[in-house]
Amino acid sequence: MAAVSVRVCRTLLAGMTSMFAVGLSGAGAQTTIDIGLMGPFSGPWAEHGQLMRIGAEMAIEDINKQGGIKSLGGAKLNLVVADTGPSIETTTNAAQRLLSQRGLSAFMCCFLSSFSLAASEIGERQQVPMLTFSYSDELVRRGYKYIFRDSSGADIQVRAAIKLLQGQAAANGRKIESAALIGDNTGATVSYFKSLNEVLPQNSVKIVLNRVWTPPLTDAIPVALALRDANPDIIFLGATTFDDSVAIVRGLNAARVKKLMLGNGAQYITPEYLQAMGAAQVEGLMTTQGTAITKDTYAADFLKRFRERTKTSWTVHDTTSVYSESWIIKEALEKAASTDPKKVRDAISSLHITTPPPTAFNGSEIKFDVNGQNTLAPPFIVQWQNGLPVLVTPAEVAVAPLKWPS
Amino acid sequence: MAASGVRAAQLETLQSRLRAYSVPVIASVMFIAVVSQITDFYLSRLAALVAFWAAVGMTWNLIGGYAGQLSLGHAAFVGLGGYVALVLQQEFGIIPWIGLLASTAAAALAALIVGAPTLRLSGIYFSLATLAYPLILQVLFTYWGYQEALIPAHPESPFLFMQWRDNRWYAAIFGTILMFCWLATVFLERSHWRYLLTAVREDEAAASAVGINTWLVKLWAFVISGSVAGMLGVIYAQMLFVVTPETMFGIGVSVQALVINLVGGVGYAIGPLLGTLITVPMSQALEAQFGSISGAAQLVYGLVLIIVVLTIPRGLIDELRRIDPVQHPTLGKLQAWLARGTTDATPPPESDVLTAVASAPLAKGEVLLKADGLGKAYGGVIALRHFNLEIRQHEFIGIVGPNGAGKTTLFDLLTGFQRPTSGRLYMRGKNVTCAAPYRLARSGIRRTFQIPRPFGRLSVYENAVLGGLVGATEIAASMDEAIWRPLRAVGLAHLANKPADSLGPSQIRLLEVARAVVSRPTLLLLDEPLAGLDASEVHELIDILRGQHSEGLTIVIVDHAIGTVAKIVERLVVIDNGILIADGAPTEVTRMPHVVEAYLGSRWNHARD
Amino acid sequence: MSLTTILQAIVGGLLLGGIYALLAAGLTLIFGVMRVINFAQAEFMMLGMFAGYVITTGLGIDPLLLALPIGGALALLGMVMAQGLLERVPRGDHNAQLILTLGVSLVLQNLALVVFGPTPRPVVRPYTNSYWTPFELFINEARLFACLASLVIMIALYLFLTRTWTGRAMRATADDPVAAGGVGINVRRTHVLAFMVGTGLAGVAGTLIVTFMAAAPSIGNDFIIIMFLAIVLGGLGSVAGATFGAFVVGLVQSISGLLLPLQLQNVMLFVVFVLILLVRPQGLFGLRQRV
Repeated sequence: MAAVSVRVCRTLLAGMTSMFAVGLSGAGAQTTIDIGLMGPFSGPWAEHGQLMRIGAEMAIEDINKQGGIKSLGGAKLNLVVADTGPSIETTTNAAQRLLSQRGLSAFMCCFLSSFSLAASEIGERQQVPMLTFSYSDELVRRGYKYIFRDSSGADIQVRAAIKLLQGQAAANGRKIESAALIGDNTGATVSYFKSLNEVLPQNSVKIVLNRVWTPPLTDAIPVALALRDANPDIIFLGATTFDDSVAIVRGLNAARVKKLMLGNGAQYITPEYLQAMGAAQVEGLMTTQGTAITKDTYAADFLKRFRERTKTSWTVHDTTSVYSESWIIKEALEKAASTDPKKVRDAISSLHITTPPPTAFNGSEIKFDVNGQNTLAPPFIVQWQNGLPVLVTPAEVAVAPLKWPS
Repeated sequence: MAASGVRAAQLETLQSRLRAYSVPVIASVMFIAVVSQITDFYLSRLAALVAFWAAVGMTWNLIGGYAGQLSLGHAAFVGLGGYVALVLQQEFGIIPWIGLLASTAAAALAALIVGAPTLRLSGIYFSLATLAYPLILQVLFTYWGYQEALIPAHPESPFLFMQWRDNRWYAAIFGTILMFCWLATVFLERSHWRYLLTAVREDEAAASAVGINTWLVKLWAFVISGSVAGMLGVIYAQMLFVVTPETMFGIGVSVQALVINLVGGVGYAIGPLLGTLITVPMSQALEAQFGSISGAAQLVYGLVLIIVVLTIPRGLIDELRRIDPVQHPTLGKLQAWLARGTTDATPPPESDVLTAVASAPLAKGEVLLKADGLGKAYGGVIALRHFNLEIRQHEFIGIVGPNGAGKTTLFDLLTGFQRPTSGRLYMRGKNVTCAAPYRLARSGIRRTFQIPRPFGRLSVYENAVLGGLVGATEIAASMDEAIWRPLRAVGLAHLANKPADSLGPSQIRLLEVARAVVSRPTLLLLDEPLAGLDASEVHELIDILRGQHSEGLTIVIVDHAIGTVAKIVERLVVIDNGILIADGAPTEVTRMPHVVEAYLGSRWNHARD
Repeated sequence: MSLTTILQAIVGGLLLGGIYALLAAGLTLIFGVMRVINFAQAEFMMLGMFAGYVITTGLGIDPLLLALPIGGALALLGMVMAQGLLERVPRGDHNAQLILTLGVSLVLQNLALVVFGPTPRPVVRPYTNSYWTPFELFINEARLFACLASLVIMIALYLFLTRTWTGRAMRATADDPVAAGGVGINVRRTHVLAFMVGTGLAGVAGTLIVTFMAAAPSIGNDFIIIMFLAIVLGGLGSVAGATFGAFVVGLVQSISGLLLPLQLQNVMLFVVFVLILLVRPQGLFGLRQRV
């Protein structure tokens, strides 16, 4: 036993020192430029992290294929990834590690708003620009200089969505006068519902039902039945986990609640979601997105390549937003002609992008205001039509018109 | 002892005390000095986190290690502290330093409210209960809208708002708190508290039997542990800047507090420190190495945990202590340093021992313990009924009965370990029917156990010390007499430094007697002391008991060996089927026909003559 | 609040309870016999879900038919864990056992993540999306079948524990290991068998659940506290108690959804949990608490 003890002690001490040394591995080589991607690669949101990663990888490949950063002698981009982990501590540790140890010129993060808020704090202190597509409006309200969001936040999405939908309703001879808000109590949904609670009354829409649960939702039927009884003109869906998103719409279909439904986020339009629900059940279901495949030809081409690469039939904003953000970083590097993150930041804030690839998924030009928000970004709504999610608003870039539920 | 010898002993104590207390201070000063040189933000953050987790680990160690109550919900206090300060700042603009005080108080209050009922549970039930508290808080704070709480930013006055961009400040604060936690732990180890906590950890029943209010000891540990954890939570939240319920109350936090201690060594002052120095850099390194592959880092971490548990289940320090210093001189040096740093056989200062409980002097023939119609029923089964007995000063009583007669029940009732379902118990005239066992012990009733309950990991000497630590009835002339005399009387003085669990079965029984007698009790009850002893051991025990009796101790032996007991005692009481059937001089009682019948059955009755 | 709403809640609660029962029974059996809390219990369920997914999508066999074979496979995995790991930890060292099962839980979860990736894998059977609607109630058929299958398994378990020698040996060992050894029961083997039955039950539960819940590596996290609640309610070590406790948990969840804000559904459960521990720690059917 003593012999084992000695060996164990020695091994532990040795392992500790060597691993500590490994943890401090230095910055990347000079001929490549490191940009970072942080996202949830483990835990309940891991599928979104994976989709984000595919977007980044495809972007880096495309950028490098077309010659890298020309103003830096064709330097290639190198993607450095890190898991945000389950808590703020793990997220900020990863961010700090990446920013201190790897010498990044810019990074993209983090999917969950709370993690984005925390990581952007580190970015601000380390003076490395961060791009995000998280919904929370708090992200661009703090007057920070190192955060940028190229897609719209919760508030804009909600306002625009209501206007759009009321417009569509009028065009179809209908009215939206009552609404139901059902969802979980995660940060994104809370922002979403907070905005809705403000904006809906301003647009003469009465909120007739409000149900919020702590995930996981144990039984969707009581909620569905309550919805059936409340009979709203529109249902705002705020379920964020996969099983909850499936369960609530299943329940609504079982209760034969056929209403206009608007969700928040990619969870309603992933291939797995279709697999679980079936095309008939999701027909007409809509969800907001930050970016999407517009009718722009570059976007269509991207979708084709994405299909070949992943063997799935379409993509969601986790992928397209990160793809877009990577290209924005590329443009900034070109403009700055430097890998210094401070110069890159200045370049991003002075960018005015009018051509694809980035604009292909944003449906608009890209220009950031003083708070880091791309104010030109319109909110997107994607709708299931015949087993495929398609962009339906804004009309200028939509792939198909919005179908009113029958 | 010669004056110079006393002086030398005092000097030595002073030296060892200085040494023990200076280690945390020097270590912390060195830590802060080193940290102040770190310019890399990641490394300074790591340093801050190591100090934070080590401190959290130390707070857990108090309740989980020293007191032995495995808490799986430590996150509740860390998180509560963090959130209370956050809410005060967000809603009322109160600066975090004030919030720190508020949070510590809130966490202490929560620990009190939660701990008071929960610490009545033991073992796995306590652990499971602690799981619930952080979960409840997590749901509540989410419900109250704090899913993503931002600390209000005040970059203009970092000191006022505890918001530094430079992680070194956090490292310094955590390092300072860590130092105080460490100092407090050293103090604890050198005080009588260590004995109390160890007794509670090792064996709560035995601890009660020597007069320790185990519930109160655990509660103190829990409250102190929780309040300091709350304090740490405030600064942690400030450092993270964004706070979510999962981050503060998640099971990961509670598990980390536990793992740190397990790896380093539960119940040792620097256990959590060692554990943190290993686990935190390790998990960071794993993330750096494998972070790009989904799940790989956590997978390796889990594997390492398993390996650690299988190879060093008691923690690193325990393994280090087992190394033979002769064969491995370098590790042996570390072992020696550890042994010095963590005291293990320093007797408590004299003033702590034998705190006397003022009690009226004993009158001759006074009734010490009176059972008045005592009865105990378990559901439908009546184990004891209508039991009346008066135990007077200086009596030597034997209570005997065949197996299943109700002796164990009676014993537990007389010592407070069970409550009667009918009847009353009086101690020197005072009604003690519902009194907890520790109260009876403090009032001068001491007992031994049928299956002996020594404090196995403590030495023989320390076991004896514990006997007298709480509620002795008189202050002995000197500590020497109080501890050594009983040890000498039972013949264990030469084994004083041996751990109690290395003793043979009869020696352990003698140790229990010594431990019981240290406090000079008014009444000693022995539960089946003769079981399993051979003839010479029985003889030895009887001699010792006779000796104690001759010095004035009132003794009651409960046993089933009627023959042996009858020869020792002055008065014999017999119970059968839960009823007292005889009470008188041994020679008469043993002849009574119904007594013989009870033991041997009616067939043998005619054969006795 | 109409009668239908209340009935719906009760039915929903019972359906939940049926599934929880399998997990809880396994956990409490392991605890009763081995005095070990298997923190990896939900991960065995998760593996059962993935196994069900893989075989159903690959071979087209219905998960309900796969429940027993997959349960058996996970019982074997449980045997590996019990013999290879748990037996090596000193008996009575609760800290060590706890960390060991936690470590296994981490390993299994992340192994699944590495191997299968994070994408949720739903299984869709004809009955997954259909509902039985007697008396204006809505009963999801997948959940109903899973619950019925679970009841069948629980009856089989009951018969096993009361009518077979091995089962009775398990109960004897749970009650008094020393006495059990004394009457010739191989205590060590019984421990391993109990662990196998426990993890096998979790595997069965997973295969049944995958008909209406997608397989994902971290799905176990939501079930841990439910299981603990159920076994504490019913009394640690009592299989009948765990079954009862599971149904109570399901019902409390459902009904508190009617009375409290939905977000606080689980708070009710946790409060009940703590109260039971404080007032009657041995639960409703539990073993006598040993000092």
